[in-house]
Amino acid sequence: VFFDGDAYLTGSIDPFKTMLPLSNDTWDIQFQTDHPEISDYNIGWYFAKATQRTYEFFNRSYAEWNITQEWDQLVMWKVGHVMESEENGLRVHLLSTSDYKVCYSIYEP
Amino acid sequence: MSRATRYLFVIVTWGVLIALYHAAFQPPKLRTDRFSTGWSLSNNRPAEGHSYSYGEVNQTDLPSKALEPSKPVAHSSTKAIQTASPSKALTPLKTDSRFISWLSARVPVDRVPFITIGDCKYIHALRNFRDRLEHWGYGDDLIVICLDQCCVDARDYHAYTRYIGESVAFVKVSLL
Repeated sequence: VFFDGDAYLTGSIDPFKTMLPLSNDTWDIQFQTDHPEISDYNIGWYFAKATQRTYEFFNRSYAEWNITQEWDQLVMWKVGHVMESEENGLRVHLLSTSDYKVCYSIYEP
Repeated sequence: MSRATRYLFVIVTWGVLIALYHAAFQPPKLRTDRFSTGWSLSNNRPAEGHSYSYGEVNQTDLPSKALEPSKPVAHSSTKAIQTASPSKALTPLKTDSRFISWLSARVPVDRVPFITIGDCKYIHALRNFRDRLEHWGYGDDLIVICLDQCCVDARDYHAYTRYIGESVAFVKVSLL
């Protein structure tokens, strides 16, 4: 599990409770999302499984970031979306926004 | 000024001085001083109760056995994570990745490490995070890729020192 330093656990539930377990074979990486309607990734919290696809995902993200020097989160989202559409591509599971909240979703009405 | 007023003045002055003395010499009580393992001096209190129950969720959605926390979490009283040295019980994996090799010597391979990047400004947040992880038995699985020495010196987690001076974005896309 990777998380940003400004992530905060409320302590109300086990952090693994609503993520898919490692034994589930339907995912390579699980991301928090800011906007589930467009399936974007928030890389402030993700659970990556050690698979060939995730290895390739991080390698391609690094290569792309070296070229563009864009926002790391945007780079990984772009690369991930391409990989998701590929045959035998990256399997991404987006986490529930009710359990994995981003700050503005807490303060928005 | 009457005698009674003078007595009252003396009593009030003493009261104020005693209150100031206590306020000045009272050690601060941080959130992390309560029942964490890594930074409390002496604390044998059990974890304050949480309401988590495996009965609440579908068993198929539970993490694997290796991820199950040991409940209730036993909080050792004085143990601090030795950030500089690996666990004697763990043999590092032979791999081209220095980070993975380093990591495997500190967190068993059947555990999921919680990895983040930190520096001086995040010490309290990291301690707080570890404190929360302790509730579920994951406290010793916290890994911090430190960007400065101050982060390393905190000693409340496993600190990886090779990226001191690097940027967060570089670490995120290159290491992870």
